[in-house]
Amino acid sequence: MSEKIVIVGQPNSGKSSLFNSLTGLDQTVGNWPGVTVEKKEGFFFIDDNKFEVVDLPGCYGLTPTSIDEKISLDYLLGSSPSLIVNILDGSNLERSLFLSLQLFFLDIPIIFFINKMDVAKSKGIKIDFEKLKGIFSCDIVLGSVKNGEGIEDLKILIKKNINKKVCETKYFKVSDKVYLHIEKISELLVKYKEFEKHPKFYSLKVIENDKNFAPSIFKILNEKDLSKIKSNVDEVYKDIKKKDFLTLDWFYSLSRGIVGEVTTKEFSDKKSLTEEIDNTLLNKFFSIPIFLITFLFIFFLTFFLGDIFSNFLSFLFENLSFFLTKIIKEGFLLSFLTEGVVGGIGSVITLIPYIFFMYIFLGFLEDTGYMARVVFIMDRFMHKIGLHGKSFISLVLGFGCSVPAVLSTRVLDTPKDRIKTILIIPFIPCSSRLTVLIFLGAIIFGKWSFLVIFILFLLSILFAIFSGFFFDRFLLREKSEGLIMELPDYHLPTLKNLLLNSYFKVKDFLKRAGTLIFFITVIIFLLSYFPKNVEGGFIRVAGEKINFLFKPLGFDVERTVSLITGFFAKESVVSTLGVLYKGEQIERVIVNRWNSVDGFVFLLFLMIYLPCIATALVIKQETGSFFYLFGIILYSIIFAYLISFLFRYFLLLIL
Amino acid sequence: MKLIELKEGEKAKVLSLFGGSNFVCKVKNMGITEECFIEVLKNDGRGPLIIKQDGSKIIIGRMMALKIEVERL
Repeated sequence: MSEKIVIVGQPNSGKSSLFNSLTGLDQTVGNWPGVTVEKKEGFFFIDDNKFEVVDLPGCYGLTPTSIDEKISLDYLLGSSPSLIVNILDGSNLERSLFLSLQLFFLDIPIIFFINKMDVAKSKGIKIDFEKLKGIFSCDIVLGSVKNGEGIEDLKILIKKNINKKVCETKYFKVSDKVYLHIEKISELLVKYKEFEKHPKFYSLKVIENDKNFAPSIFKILNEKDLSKIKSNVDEVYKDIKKKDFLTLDWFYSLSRGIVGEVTTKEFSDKKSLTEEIDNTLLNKFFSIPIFLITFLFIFFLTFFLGDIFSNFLSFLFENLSFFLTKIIKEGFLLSFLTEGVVGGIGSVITLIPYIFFMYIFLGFLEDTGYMARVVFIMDRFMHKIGLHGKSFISLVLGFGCSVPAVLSTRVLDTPKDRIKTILIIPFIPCSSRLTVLIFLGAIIFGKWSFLVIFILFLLSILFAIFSGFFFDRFLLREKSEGLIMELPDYHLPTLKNLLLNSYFKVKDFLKRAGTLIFFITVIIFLLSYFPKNVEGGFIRVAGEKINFLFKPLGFDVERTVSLITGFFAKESVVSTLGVLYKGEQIERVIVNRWNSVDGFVFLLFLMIYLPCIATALVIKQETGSFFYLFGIILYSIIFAYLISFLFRYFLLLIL
Repeated sequence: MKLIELKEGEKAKVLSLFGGSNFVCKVKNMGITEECFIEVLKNDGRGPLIIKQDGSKIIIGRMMALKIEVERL
């Protein structure tokens, strides 16, 4: 029998690090039912007791303004966990307590883990532990996930607190008008089975007049209770001018009171390190060059490090093929193993080092806090295409994989913002595409390849901007609501978190490579092997049939076929080429057959021509419309074709 | 005056928030409530502003900053 606990905290509180610290490798990343926001679950043992733990998406409070926050709230209300581990930011207690105080209304046992005590100390903030214990009846741990402080204490307390009684705080007083009426209303609500589990929470929502809850609550109530409750609400708002989300002001005033009571802060005029760094990184003139150089550097490193490991892997596969040839000699089985399995899957697996390093570096930018600065830098430009800086984060995630990028648009405020961003994402080169580009680029351009890739990368951003502009003008004319987000302080990420994060991404990739990509590769192999009397098999014949379409771009039959399989998964472009260039090392064939203009145009086309099938499905799911799906497919093919065509003849003219 | 008119380094008290309930809720969730004190860390005259409220820094777009009424201290 295992107990279910949840980790709840605000964004940037160190929630994921705590989750990683508790579960290590014992975690799975799945989806929330019905919606597709990442759901992280894991487990750990304390003595012999098993604890299941869910990492909820970060939320600032319990009045959701994004789908992410709504998921957290729905989970808390629906699943009745045995315990909430509320992680707070010790260096920013006021904001953290804003959420904690609201959590008390759920009537679920709670423990506070006050994180970042090391940061608080460096900022000269002291928290009086005894006073804090005097205010809340729940257990409190001070610590720092990063330094591993407090984790063991937390585990012991988790075991002790499971299903214990609900906690209280002396800051909720019946002499307080808001709290008094929350109590009164919840006494009425508790009689209804819909509200009996969390009566105080629903009563809070009634007072708040939260449109996600209040109307449906009113529908259930009988007339007598309804009028009683309405008069209670009127009582709260009597003599108050400003009515919008009064409870949020109330929670903030309480948390300011608590912070005033339990913390002392040394006054300092000195600028913090973060502010000093931001003076440079967000400088009016330097911010953009620094941003570009950072990304150039990351590509260089990804390429450089990935290359070393990738070469080693290709070397292994080459020897494996050689070894197989020696023992099997000839026939279908040999072809299947060397061309289909080793040639196909092998060329996909050699992409892994690139993916691994890509995610390490993107994770590094995210964890240090630089990604939030990128939002700031890019906001101005995003406005030109009718979006704001937060959409840029989705676009940046698109460098990892389009699928989570499309899903991440759920944090955006308006449906039009979301659709516009979703339509731009396929133009961002994802890591699968980038690794294919890097892999082929390295073969075609040798030591200059990272520069070529970077040019392609800049071009793709340019195309994304152009497409955004196009959609904004002709499809979805609407100004976005604007940007508001927290700017976290800089901090050094831990290697453990970066490695874990990247490990799960690579695992996901391998799972895909093992199923979908393997499946495609085998089919391509069979189609290229049979019928036996035709050189190159069925697929070659089919490729020759449609090759005339791509002749103006200078693609041969193999490349044409690989573009088709690339729709299923971009990685299979490489594996298809591996299968089709029979028996030979793909590197050698490409060096012999492709000139640099051919190569560049192929990479260019590859980069923009289609979202992969997984992305296409997610686009359909998230926009709920075939119009956008077929629109984006058609648009991207035509766009890729025109651009590649123009580049080819331009390059042929000048070179 | 509006938040957007404040210069770098200036401190102010928030008077009121003008906008739809989604806007108000969002801004309040970030800790910018009526009566709270803020400091402008960055206002380049273009692009978003960065403001400081207690221990947290918040990026806020120019359009949103137009909807926040403040009093310079």
